[in-house]
Amino acid sequence: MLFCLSGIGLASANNGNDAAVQWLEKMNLAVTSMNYEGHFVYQCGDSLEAMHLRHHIGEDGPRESLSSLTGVPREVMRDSESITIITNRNGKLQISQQPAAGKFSPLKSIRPEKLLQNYRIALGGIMRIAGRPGVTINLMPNDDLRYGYRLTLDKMSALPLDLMVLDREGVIQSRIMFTDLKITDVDLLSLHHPDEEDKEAAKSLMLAKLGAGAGSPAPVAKRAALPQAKPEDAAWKFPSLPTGFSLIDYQKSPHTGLEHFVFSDGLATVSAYLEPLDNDKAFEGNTNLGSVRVFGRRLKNYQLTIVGEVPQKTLELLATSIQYHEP
Amino acid sequence: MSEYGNNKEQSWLSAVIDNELSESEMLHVSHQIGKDQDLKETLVRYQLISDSLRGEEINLSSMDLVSAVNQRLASEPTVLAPGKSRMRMPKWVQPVAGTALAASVAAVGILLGPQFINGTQMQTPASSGLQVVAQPVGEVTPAPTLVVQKENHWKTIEGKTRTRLDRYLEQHSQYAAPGGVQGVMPYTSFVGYGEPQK
Repeated sequence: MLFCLSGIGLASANNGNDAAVQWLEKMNLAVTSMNYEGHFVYQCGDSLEAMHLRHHIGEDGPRESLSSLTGVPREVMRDSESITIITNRNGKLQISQQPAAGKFSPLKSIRPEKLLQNYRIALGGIMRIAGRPGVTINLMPNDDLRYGYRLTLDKMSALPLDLMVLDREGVIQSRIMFTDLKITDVDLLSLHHPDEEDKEAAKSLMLAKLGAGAGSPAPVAKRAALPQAKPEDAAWKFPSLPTGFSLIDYQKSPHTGLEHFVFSDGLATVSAYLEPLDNDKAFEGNTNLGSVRVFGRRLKNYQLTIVGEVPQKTLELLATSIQYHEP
Repeated sequence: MSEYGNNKEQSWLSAVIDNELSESEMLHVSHQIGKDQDLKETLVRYQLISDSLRGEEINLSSMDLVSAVNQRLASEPTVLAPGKSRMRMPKWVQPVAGTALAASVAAVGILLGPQFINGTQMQTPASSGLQVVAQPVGEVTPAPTLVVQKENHWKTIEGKTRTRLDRYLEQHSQYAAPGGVQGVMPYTSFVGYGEPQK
């Protein structure tokens, strides 16, 4: 199972938690194994965006396309091999591609016993989203270092229909809500013809609208993925992490010196970047993109930037905990 | 499938509508349905009736099959009526199948409206992609006004830092999201990012 539910973890959970965790497990399987397509709105701060998602299981594995329907045309296509980003800004088409690093599995690192240390998990009521009945799962934080989540999963398929990120006062920080969802191989509510759609699923919607043929209409900028590295080899250490968070990933570029630390508490993830500054002016302070918050400061001749959908306090705790050790 | 179908398969359909199948059973049934056009149409009929009886909107994504359903209704007006066949019917169908079916098909016509029945859709400013600002009655302005779209972007910053943050956000989407719930839709914030107003 992608979502490792150990017997030990389940034994310690009560029935309500147990059922909610099982729904999360179903979601994890559904997101990666089903063919589906739909439109959703993304509420982020005071902006509202509409997007289109297609997920298709082909002969070569899963393939996904996420494209914006508002604002700057932008599309991200990913499969097990690569991630392609297509942007059309003011008529100028830009295509970049890099090897895929992450897996499709959304909750791969979550363990119930860890989850329950940081969140209270409970089944909520039945909601109707995108015309479909959904089961609501509430994941509320035990402290003020992380946000809460309210997930509504399609009752029939367990695919997510609605995902809210909430602060401690219950104010929505961001929200993804489907307005329609078609499940092309398992959808028994919205029938259509999967064979025909399968052929189209591998193509870029944006390029198709531009009338692009088989070849790429713009040069594809190939970019290298950040190589994995051993955290013990890093000169920068985070000896006192915010409660519940642990280091789950680390990459370092041999060319630019950029280091990327990834921390997770099981649901929320935070990235810490360290990059040599040269003569650049450092970014110090904070900013945000909706609920994605950023905190920056200069450390020696490095730019430290911490990015995550967590409260500002958590970013600042991480920023103050970092220490430099001569290798 | 025969005219009245395999009873077992139709029982599955009924269970689907009644939401009584397990996940694995649902997967199995979906594969069967994917291979059998008759089963698809039967399920559409069941679903239309179910939606109608529950007072819900008819699922418009099924409308490409409505004409086929109508044709079948003309020749088989009692196809869903429990009679000689022992097939299991959904709970909500059994007492009112004939009436409900007629009502549901009528509801389809009402919901679709004249533009679909006539085979053409009216072209409105909204359907042509323009955003329209409402105008008071009596002060008619012929041309619709495009409103400035508010886009999502970093609440700051000089160009070089913005470029760097864009790159970090992209990398965060790729590397960090699989470790958490953002992995459900890992690139949403990145795709939703817009160019700041200048």
